[in-house]
Amino acid sequence: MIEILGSYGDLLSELYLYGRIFDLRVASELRQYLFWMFGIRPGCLLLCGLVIVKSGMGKIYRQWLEQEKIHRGILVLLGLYPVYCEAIDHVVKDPGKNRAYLLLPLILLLVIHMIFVYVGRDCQQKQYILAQEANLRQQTIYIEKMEQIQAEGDMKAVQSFIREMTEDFDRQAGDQIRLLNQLANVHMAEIKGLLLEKLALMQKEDIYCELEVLRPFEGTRMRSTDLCRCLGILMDNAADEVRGKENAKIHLMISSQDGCTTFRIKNTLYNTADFQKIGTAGYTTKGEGRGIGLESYRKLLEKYDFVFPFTAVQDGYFVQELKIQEV
Amino acid sequence: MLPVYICEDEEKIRNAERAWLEKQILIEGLDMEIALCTGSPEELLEYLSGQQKQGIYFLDVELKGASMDGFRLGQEIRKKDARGFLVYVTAFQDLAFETFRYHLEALDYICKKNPEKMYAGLSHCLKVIAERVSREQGEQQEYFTVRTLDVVRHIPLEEILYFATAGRTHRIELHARRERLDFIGSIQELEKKLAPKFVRVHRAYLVRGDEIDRVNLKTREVILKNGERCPFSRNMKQRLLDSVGS
Repeated sequence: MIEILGSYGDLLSELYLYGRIFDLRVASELRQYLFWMFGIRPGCLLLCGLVIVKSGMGKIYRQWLEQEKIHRGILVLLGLYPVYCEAIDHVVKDPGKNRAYLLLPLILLLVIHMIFVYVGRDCQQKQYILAQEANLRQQTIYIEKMEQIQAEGDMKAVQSFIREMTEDFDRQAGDQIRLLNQLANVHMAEIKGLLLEKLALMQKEDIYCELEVLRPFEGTRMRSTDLCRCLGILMDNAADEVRGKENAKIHLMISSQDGCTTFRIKNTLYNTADFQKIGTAGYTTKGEGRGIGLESYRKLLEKYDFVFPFTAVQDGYFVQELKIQEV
Repeated sequence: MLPVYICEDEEKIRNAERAWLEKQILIEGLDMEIALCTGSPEELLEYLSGQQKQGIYFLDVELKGASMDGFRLGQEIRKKDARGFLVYVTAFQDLAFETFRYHLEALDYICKKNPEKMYAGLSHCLKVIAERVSREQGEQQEYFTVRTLDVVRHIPLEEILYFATAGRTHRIELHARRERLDFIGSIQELEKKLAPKFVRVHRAYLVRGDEIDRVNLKTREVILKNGERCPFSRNMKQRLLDSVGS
């Protein structure tokens, strides 16, 4: 891609040279040549760079790279660029081949741009659909919970302890509304989807989970797929630890402010974990064949210089934290 | 004497808080006094500019009509009084308290909807603070302070086992008994700062001397009391043997 744009800049600047032969012994021609070399040529390269920035090619390219499946066809098309140039050089023998040279990068650039725009829009559409699905899931959960609360309210209405019932009903309704209020502050579709999925599973298993998102969370620098995997691992581990236990609690905090985002998951600790072995290959408190979660989590984080993990045992809780530097 | 500050926008509640706290301080004979009771966060911050003392702050979360909310006010107070006690008094039962505790090291929060519960909460906080202050006065623990982006952590030096470079530029892993965290730093700087309690056993490892249990010369490893192992470099052998021997 860079080569195509670079050579296009070069060829653009060569328009100035078209049909000219400089005799460098003549001072005026030497000046003209130097003007081309240090003025026009860098100018053209700069112009090409400007076109990339202004046309948003970078963003589209990054979006394309973000995809899980990178289209091999496009890679081959890009990789074969030097071959096309060589082929043109051999095939086009006419004196006007400079124009053909100029045309090839232009056509390739247009083709690549079109492919990226198509793939980018496709990706955006998928994200839009994902966001809509997450919203739908949130609505469904909301309705389900409202029905559940209503049903429990009816059941308990027949009981004599009206006061107790009201307090309990208020607390449960409060819990659900609080959870949904906090979820509304998560604006990143992938994370919202993940949280909905995990919270629904925890509710099914009667695992009490609190969520705190004080300020709206829009997004992060970390690749969304990696972030989802990391959070998935941490939430699964927390759920595994408290499953079936009494007075168990999981708390998830997402804090986004002052140029960094923090994800903090804490759960009541029951197993006396060998703290120093956590995160090492194969260590687990859950039995054979497990214990790869935190090891994969550590490996995932290794490629990010701007992500800082923190693990602790504090006041009877196991705490896992992921801090991402955003600026 | 610990100064007590109240910042609450509702005058009625502000006066009730003040009256109750004054009464409790008197009854319990606590070494505290109400220094300022205001509805304006700016007034509180201005007052604090001339103060050096650790204080106790009862803050409203919402602060209607003010230029900042209780969270922002807490952040500003922290800049002036890093060791002060922050207590939030709020009408929201579902306050995101973990976020407040995490970013501001807030001590507690009290719901002001029910006056009885509010008074009980105020008394409880005063008691906890008084206990904590007397405990801190007798404590001579050394701390290692580390900043990770927006959070500053104070880890007792006695709890730290070793530091290791994490393979990435300027990234240090801190291994403590109950904590493990990454931060940006230099192992050379740490070595200078923490000597002689910590020994540089390897170019990538700085270990607390007291924690070394034994040295395995065959595998060239130091074995810590909790069973963890760190490699040591050849030129450290004699020094290590001396320190373990003694």
